[in-house]
Amino acid sequence: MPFADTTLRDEYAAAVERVAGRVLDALRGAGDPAAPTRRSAPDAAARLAHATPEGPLPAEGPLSRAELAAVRVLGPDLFAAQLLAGQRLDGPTADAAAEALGTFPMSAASPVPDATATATATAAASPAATGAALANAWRDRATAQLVALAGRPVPALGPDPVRPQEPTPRDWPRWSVDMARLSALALPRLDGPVHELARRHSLTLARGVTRSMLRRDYRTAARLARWLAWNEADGGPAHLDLGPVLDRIRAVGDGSTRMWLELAITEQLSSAGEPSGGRTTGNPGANPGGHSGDSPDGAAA
Amino acid sequence: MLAQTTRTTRAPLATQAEIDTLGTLITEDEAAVSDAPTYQPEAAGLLLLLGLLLLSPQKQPKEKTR
Repeated sequence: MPFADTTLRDEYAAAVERVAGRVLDALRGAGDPAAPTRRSAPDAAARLAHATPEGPLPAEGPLSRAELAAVRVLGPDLFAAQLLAGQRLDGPTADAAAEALGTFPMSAASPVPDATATATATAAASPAATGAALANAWRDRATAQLVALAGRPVPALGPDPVRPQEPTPRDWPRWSVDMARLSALALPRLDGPVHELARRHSLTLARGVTRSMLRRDYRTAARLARWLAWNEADGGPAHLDLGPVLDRIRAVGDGSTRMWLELAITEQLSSAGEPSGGRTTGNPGANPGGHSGDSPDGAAA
Repeated sequence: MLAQTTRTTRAPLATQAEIDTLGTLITEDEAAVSDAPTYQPEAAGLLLLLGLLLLSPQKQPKEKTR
C-alpha cells in the first residue's frame, strides 16, 4: 500500500523486501515453493494478509505496479527455490516476470553497447554506468531464459548484450563489483558467458569478497560469496572458507530481506557443493573440476 | 536460442522516472568505505590504562631530609 509521504523508491524498495521475503519463505520451506509471487496456501495467506498493512500480495488478482517492479528487481531470484530444489519452474511466477519485463523495459532504456560498438564508444561511458547497463542486460537475459524454461512466452528484449570484460591486474576491484551486480545469475540451470567468466576467475572473486569485507561493504561481499558458492557447487575450486564470511555478514549486515535471500541462496549452493568434493582450499593451483582458476596475479586469461 | 514474441502488457509502460528508480534498485553500486568505529576488545585495556594514568596522584616525591 503506497503512502503519500513515501517516494517512489521507498515504495518499490518496500515491495522488493516483501517479495524477497516470499522467495525466502519458499527457500526455507515456509511458503509455497512453486509460486513465490503468490500465496496459494490459504492458511498462510490468511495469516499473513492480516498481519501487517504492508502484508503480502493478494492470493488472487493482478500484481500492483510496485509488486511488478519488485518482480523486475529480483529477476532470476524469483525462481531460486525451484532451481535449487530441481523443481519445475512455476508458470504464474514466469508470467509475472514476463509482465514485469514488458512493463519496465530496462534494456531499451539503458543503452548497452552491442557487440559491434566501437571501443571509443564504450570508453566514453563511465565504467560504473557501463557495468550497470551490462548487468541489467544480462539479468534480463537470464530472466527471459527462465521464463522460456517455464514454457511461457518471452517478451522481446533487444540485441544481445556485449560479453563482460575479463578482469585485469589493475581494474579487478571494478570487475568484482560488476560481478556482484550479476549475482542473481549464480543459480543452477543458468549458464552463459558470465558464468564462464566466474569459472575462470574464481580467485579474483575470492579477492573481491575479501576486499568488500575489509571495506565493510557486506552486501557486495554477500553477492560475491554467492558466486564463489555457485562455483564450488559447479565443481570449481574453493579459494575461501565461506562459513566465517557468511557468519560475519549475518552478524553485521544491513539485515534487509534481500540480503537474507542472498545469504540463503549462498548457503544452499554451498551445501550443494559440499558432497561433490573437489575442495582445494589453500591450493588454488589444483584443478579437480576442470576449472582453470586464476593466475596468481589475477591477470586476464 | 530463445523464441522471443511480443505481447501487449496489462500494465502501462513505465515512465523514465520509474525506470531510473528501478535501475538504482537493481544494480546497486558498492557502498562507500565506512569509517564507523567497530568494537575492539583490546581497546578496553588501553582505555583502562589511560584512565589509571590520568587519575593517579601527581605528587612530587618528597625530598629526604636528614
